[in-house]
Amino acid sequence: MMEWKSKYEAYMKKIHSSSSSNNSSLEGNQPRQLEASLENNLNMIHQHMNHYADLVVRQVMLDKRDAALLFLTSITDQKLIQEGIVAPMKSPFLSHELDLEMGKDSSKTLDPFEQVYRERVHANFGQRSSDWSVLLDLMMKGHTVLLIDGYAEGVTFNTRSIEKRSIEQPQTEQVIRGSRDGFIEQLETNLSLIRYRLQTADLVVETADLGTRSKSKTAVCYISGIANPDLVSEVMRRLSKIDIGGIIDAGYIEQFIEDQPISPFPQIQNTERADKTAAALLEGRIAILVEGSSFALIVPALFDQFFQTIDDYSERFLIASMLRFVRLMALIFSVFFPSLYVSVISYNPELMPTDFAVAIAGGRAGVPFPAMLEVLIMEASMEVLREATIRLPQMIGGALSIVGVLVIGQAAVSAGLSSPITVVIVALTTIGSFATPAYNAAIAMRMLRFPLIVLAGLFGLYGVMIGSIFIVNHLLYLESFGIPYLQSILTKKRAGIVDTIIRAPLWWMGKRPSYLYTIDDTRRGANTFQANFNKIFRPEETADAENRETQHDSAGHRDQ
Amino acid sequence: MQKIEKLSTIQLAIVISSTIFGPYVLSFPQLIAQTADNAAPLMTVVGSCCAAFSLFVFTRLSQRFSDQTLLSYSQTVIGKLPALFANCIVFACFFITTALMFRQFGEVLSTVVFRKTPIEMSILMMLILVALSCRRNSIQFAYVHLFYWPFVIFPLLFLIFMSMKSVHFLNWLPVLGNEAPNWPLAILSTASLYLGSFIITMLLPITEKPARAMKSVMLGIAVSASLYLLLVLSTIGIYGVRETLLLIYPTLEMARSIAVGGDVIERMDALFIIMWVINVYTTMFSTYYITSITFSKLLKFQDHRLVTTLLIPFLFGVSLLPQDQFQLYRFSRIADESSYLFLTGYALLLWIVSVIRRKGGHSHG
Repeated sequence: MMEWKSKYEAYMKKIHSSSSSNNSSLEGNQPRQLEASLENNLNMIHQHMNHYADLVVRQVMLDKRDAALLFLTSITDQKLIQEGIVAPMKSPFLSHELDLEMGKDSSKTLDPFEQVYRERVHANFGQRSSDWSVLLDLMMKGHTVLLIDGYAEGVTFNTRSIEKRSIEQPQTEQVIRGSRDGFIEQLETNLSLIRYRLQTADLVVETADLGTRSKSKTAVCYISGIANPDLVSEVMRRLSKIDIGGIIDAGYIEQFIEDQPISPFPQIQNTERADKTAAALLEGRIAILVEGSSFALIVPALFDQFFQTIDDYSERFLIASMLRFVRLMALIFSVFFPSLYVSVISYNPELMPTDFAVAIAGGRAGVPFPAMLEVLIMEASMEVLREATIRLPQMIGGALSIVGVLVIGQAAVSAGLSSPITVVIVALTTIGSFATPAYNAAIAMRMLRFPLIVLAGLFGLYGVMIGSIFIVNHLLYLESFGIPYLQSILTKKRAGIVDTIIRAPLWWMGKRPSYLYTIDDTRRGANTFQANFNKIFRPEETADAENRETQHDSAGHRDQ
Repeated sequence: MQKIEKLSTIQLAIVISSTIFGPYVLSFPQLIAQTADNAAPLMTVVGSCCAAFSLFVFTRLSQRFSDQTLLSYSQTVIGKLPALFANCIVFACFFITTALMFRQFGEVLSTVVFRKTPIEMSILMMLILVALSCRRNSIQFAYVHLFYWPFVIFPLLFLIFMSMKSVHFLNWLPVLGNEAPNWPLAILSTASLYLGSFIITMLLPITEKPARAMKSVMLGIAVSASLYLLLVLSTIGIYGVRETLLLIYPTLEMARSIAVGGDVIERMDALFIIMWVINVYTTMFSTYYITSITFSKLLKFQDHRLVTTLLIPFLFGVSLLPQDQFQLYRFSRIADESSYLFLTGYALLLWIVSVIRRKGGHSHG
């Protein structure tokens, strides 16, 4: 308690003195250059950085000279500093060093920093500078600064070590068949996950700091022989325009570099999966990763990408195409079902078979609200339930969902708040929206159904159609890094359509998406398509044509 | 990363056919039956050929100046002042026909769907929707057509095939009509349906291979013309000429009479009207786009976005001018037919003058 009191008094004194002497901030009277005297340098450090609780100043003797090591304990590897830097410095001179020192005068003039790095220290070299700000910046990143008496210079050694969690399965993008490792918060680990999937010298990783205060390391990854240089330069140009204090998550970057901020649709894909990122890089896209975020941003991102999963490519193509179709249907359900229901009930009941119309009318008999209001109430309560269960811990979430299901399901009907068919519609809508793999795309679609319901209540099917044209036109006009959002569907090249509505066999998708204007647009060997085509349609010819040694007969034995 | 994407041959054909195939789908069979009697299918074919000729002229003319729109090169061909005057008339043509088309759309909605809603409301909604979508460049304009094209073509094809079983072939006879048909009027009323094909003069600069544009526009008009023909054949085949004359919207009646999938959907007309909204939207989108581009070029604006907004109240006002439905249809017939004659004549004039004066580049073919 007494300690805090003294700290408080010191802090108040500092504030008063700084306000009286006006702009004498820390940077203001901080010397820019180092001085030759170690004493003075250390005094300066003590004076200005006494509030750094984890700062350690370790004084050592180096060749009969005073020297000091400065580092922050919280982000450095203590073991490396002790064993790799301090211990070798203190060790007695090796015999040949002694000889050198005794015999030749020239070695005496050898720069001590150079000598220390070359002959003593086991850590990696950081930077050498006589500028305080450079050295302190590096120290903040976990480097160890070495100062030697008599030299107005310092060097740093990389001793950075940060606590990190282990690599786990991505929580938001689970797959049935696919790798189980996802990104974590450390940039270096994430880059290693990408690098071991793409072991090519063409994989370029450009890094730079972003954020004036957080100085978060940001990496732009692309494959140099594939990605379009214009696209790469555009990404860098947009990144260079970001001027913000701190980048907390990749989402911050996303909002600064997207094309159209006023749109419900995501124009940049984010993923926790390393395999997805590697696949995107191979297609000619660009990944942006940032320190402290377990998500990679993939640009450009088109509409269909939000409905693809990595499973699609590892499963059989027929099944994968069917699954894509199911997802598309779920999407249409989640957007249009409630509004179609409202407009058919309120304006065009003649569209339904008579028996069904009578049944619906019977169900709605006790409900006091118009169909639009009824659906809006139910949809809104469903959204509330969904939002509530996401944040809760799992123990409570289960209980809540049971209560919610009861309220929205059975109780609402018995209370006369809604008709049974409305409950069915709401359930279908909600389930449908969860079938979309990308959360941000799904939520955009889900929110758009509310204006559609209102339009349906006011203008019937005509209103739904006008609203849909609005939404579709918005999608048509939207761009992601200059590429139209629906380009993959509208593209004239075959490469577009084979990976959108259907997922064609891999040997069929020989070209990279044409809208990416990749340098190297062929993905697979030139005759892969023909070979597979022949295998299907002319099996007897291929058996002759191909090397028979690699052929297996129907029993699975190698043909001798 | 700004790559200028250009339209391919097929894409251009799709844009042309979706532009041409317009709101007249509902009333066209009655219209043609009125002027051509039993020769309606024949007149449809002849009229379409006539429209194809105009389109041929538009395309040939544009190909001579494959990097400009008609509004720019007309000045170099016939001089500044005459061109300005003629372009004013082009603007007037499209302004009036667009306004009347909006009104017709509103009339259909008021008679079929919203009997109590004021017509102003339904017109205004569509008008604002179209005006907002026009604020884009020509490539995005083409994308809209590309996306909606299947929704324009397939519902109608579906409808025609579903109703095929009720066609009585006797109703088609005699092919040449009972008495000599009023040839010029019948041909004109068919040909004026294809007014939107003028869009080629604005799209040619952004096509990938201007030299092959002729193939694509002919493909486009062939698709639309055959759909119109199928429509006339099936309506006349089902109802006969006399009865068709009594129906305001014969196509809608046809939709009403079919049931799909063992009566799961008992009446198709409401659904058909909704799909027809897309059809109307694409056509109006094109004519509105032509109108605003022409107007902005006349005013020498760099950007046509301001103009699209400015046009909304004027189009709305003009669309409300006709007193009733009969007056509306009379007006719109006159407007469409005279616009068609003027545009064809103007393009023909420009073409001949440019050939004589050796203006423009290489003539393709």
